Amino acid sequence: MKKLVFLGAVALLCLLVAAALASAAQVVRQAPTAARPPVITRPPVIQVTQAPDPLRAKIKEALTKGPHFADGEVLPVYKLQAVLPDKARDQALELANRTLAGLGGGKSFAAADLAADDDYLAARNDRNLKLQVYTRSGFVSLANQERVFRGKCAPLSNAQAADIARKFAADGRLVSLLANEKLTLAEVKHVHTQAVDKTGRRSEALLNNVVVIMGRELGGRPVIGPGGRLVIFLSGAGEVAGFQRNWREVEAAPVDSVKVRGIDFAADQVMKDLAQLYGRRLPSVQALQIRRVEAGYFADGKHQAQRFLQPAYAVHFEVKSEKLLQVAHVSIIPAGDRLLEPLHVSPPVVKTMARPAAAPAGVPDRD
Amino acid sequence: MKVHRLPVLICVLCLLLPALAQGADVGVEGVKSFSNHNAALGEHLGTLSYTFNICNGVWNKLNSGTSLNFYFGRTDCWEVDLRDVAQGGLDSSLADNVDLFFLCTHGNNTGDRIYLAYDAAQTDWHSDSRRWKLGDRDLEWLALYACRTLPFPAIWDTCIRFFYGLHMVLGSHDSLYDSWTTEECGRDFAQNLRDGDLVSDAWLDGISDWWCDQNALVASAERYETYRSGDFDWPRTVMERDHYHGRGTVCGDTPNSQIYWFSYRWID
Repeated sequence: MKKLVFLGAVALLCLLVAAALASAAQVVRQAPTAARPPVITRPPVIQVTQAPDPLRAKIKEALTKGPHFADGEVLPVYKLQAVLPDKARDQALELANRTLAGLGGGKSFAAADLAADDDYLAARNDRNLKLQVYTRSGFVSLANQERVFRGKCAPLSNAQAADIARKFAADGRLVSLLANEKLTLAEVKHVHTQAVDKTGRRSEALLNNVVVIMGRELGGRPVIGPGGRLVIFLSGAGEVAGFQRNWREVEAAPVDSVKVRGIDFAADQVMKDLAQLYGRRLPSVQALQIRRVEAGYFADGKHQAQRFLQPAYAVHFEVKSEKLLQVAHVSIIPAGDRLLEPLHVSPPVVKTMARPAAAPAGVPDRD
Repeated sequence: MKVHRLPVLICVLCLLLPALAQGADVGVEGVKSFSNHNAALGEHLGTLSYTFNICNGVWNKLNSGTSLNFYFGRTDCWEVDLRDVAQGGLDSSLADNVDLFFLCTHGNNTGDRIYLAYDAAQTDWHSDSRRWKLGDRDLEWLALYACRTLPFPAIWDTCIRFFYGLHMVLGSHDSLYDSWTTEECGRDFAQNLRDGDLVSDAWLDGISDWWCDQNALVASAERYETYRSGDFDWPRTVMERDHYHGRGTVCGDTPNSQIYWFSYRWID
């Protein structure tokens, strides 16, 4: 028995010595080259190959089919000439007085005639020609208000209308173009009037105006957005009845360049816009209608001061809900890898009244 | 006694003059988010991000400062504000108690009625134009910055039900845009009114930016005298005569029974 206890103690001692030796050997062992996996504190995300998001796929398909930039393409950024309020006013007066004879004539406009409201100036002459100027952007509009949005216009083909508009723009020196700029035909719209009487009978639609919307191309790229537009209203047999010029002059040499991002980036941004509008319940593929895709230099509206023409995507889309309530949006996406200025700055908003606490008689209490 | 009347008269005129000079009364309502509406009805209406940019533009330019003017937003906009009093509505103290009522929300037309969406059910989530009776108290111009309020085939059946002295609806024959390039629509429309443009021109020009396809439409109630068996006397129509108060001619109201035709003008 004593012998057995002795042998057991020796064996235990041997085991302890072996364990101590093994432990010592471990200390001197080289650290593993592979990184230690992180401590898992939450269930791992199961990586599964998901079917591509059909909504994003639809957007991407529209971008692929429409005009787009190649990913990584380097594009120049152009600087716009500064718009000085006094100069913008004087140029607008000069342009208006130079062209008013062709639009209906009447008394020339003078600086003293212009009523001012912030950056907006307006005057009307004795022949109901209305001049509007926005001195922040240089926007000018001159319209014979006896003929724009009323009267009668002969049916003109788009080509005929565009020719008249081009001639008017050239004769009136409405825009100055650089060597790498081009005046393009963007769209032709129409103003119509019709009648429906109590029997439900409709009259023939009266064509009031043909509206020629001229666009602009810079370095082979279109200028997109409400800026870079020359809108010419035609009336009668094809006479010009008014025009709107939202056209910022650009400096000849590019001021910088940016690397542009491709359609994947643009599709992601449209998805983000949709998420902002619809939250987590994104519209179905059927509900989303993509109307138009554009890629070019973005020029903003008449109320905005702008210093640079930078590349951007514009995706026009419409969402129809289950009950057919619908709305159109446009996602305007800066395409460059950096921005020299924001594409747009919205004015601060929201100052509604609180509804009177004492609701008028007969109205249930508010929630 | 006459000596004392003069200063009183002058005082009264001084008090009235600012209101007269400013012109008309305006009511503005705008709904931006539809989370309550969607949750209650299981619908899917998106946020109208630029509602208040548009509404502020109208309000800032046209608020004449009288106590009749109002500007409500979000869940303070109720469908009863447009609904006829006889149908349980509040129009006689709100929409029909001003000269111009401007509303920005989601809209639609189902053939004979305009539907407008609200984010508070007071007492319904939708406004239905079959329950309106506008102009019997004051309203002249109803401006709806909402999509597809007046598609062409629906104009007579829709309008004849609620024009009771109302001169014009300023709306759309298809979608309107909610985007940063159209946030200025309210301001431009209101500026045109102040400039003395025709009300119809003010809308068509004001909400067009010539880049986005804005489908503006204006419909006005017209009398038999201007119909002339289809040879329309356009210069005498409400469409071509109505200006904002204090800015030019304003036609008289046409009672519902005397509406012979509707004229409508649009851009496409």
